[in-house]
Amino acid sequence: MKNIYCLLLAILFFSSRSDSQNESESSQTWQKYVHIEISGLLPNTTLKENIPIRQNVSSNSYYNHNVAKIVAQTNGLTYAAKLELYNNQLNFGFSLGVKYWLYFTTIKGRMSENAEYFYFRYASNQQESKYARLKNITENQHYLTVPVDVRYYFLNRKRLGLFVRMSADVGFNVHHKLDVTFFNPEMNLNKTEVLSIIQQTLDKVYYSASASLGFRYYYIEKISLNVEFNILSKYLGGNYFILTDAERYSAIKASVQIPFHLILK
Amino acid sequence: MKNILYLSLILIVLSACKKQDEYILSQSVFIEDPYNPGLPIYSEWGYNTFGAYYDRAPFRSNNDIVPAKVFVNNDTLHFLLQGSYQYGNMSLKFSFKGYSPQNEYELTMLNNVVINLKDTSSKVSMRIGGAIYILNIIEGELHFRKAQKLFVDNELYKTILCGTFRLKTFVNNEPVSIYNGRFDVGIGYENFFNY
Repeated sequence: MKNIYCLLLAILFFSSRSDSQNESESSQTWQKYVHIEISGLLPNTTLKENIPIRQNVSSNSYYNHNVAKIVAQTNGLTYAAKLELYNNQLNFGFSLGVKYWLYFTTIKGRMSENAEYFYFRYASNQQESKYARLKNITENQHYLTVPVDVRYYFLNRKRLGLFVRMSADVGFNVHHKLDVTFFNPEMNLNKTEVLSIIQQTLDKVYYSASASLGFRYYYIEKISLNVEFNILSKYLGGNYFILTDAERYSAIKASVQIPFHLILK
Repeated sequence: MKNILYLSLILIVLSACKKQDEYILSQSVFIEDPYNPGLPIYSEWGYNTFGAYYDRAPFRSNNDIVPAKVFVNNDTLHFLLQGSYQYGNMSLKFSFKGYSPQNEYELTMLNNVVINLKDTSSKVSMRIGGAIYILNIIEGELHFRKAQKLFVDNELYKTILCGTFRLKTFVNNEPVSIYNGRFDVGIGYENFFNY
């Protein structure tokens, strides 16, 4: 591990020029950049307790033949375009833009090796309880937000820069859809009744915040590539998912950074 | 001809699925109650579990023995819970008059019924190890909170009985209590008897 750190420091030192040479090549203090960004998200989710799925895991299963399981997973993707105002003396940048978030949640399960479905209770009163055999339940949501970022380069060389970024997003929900896939196609007639059990109002306004660590590869005055990894994140307030609970997410982001004067040319 | 073959294939697959569901829904799903260690949670899913404290030690269902049976003879319904207690087998049978369902689906007549176990029309017996005790009840009740038909994909499968019980009695001339009792069992063809 120590050798890897030494190697990284050597690469940083020998592949770059000093900051004073940067200043001589770029006389303006404030520079503008356009970022075109895409990121993959993995929210840290757990299945909500109020989703009426029959459990299939016994806490004292004597025989280990039980391969039954229920899995809930949420994945996300974002696309963003931002304008950054960067101060090359302070190594500090401020961005504003527009971001589109797509979330996709799936609940899948199996009761046994040969039964790739789970039981979902969609009706229960004093006299009757009704289960449907489902292959999956899915939830799609899209949000449109305005991201506000602050970026600071703690190491800024010619071809490589290391930075931290703090971000906050505020926006609203633009699309939401719940769907189920029945094991027995004849149950499609009951789809509305089944979905009505879990349908609920989501918070329309979306807030989240995150901090990330990243690096820029290539000359800052040319088109360069940024890659970032989330180190902290939080969904602020609100109920953004019907099927799962999520407080934070992991993300990896890649963006192309284009100096504004190159776009005007 | 093609349509007939296709329809036959669907029927075969669906009947196989029904047998599989019967097996899956008759298995026990034991989820421990965090507030009553050793006992299953109170549930209304047909998890085929029960549990109670017998003087602080848990008497509960296990994966080896059918946890509940209902048998009806003349005017008397017998509700039998079988499980384990302190590394041995134990069963508790509640018998009460006035209920005679002809099949497992008619057990819904027990919905929200409370049986006073001290009443002369009720009897409780217990088997622990090899000994059988007809219990002299000091006080107690058996409450069927829900007795409902279970449908899977709009097809009737079995009846779920869930509820609670507690009682105080004498065993070997010593007072004992069976308390925090709960059950959530499915009653179907395999564990309903009428003779």
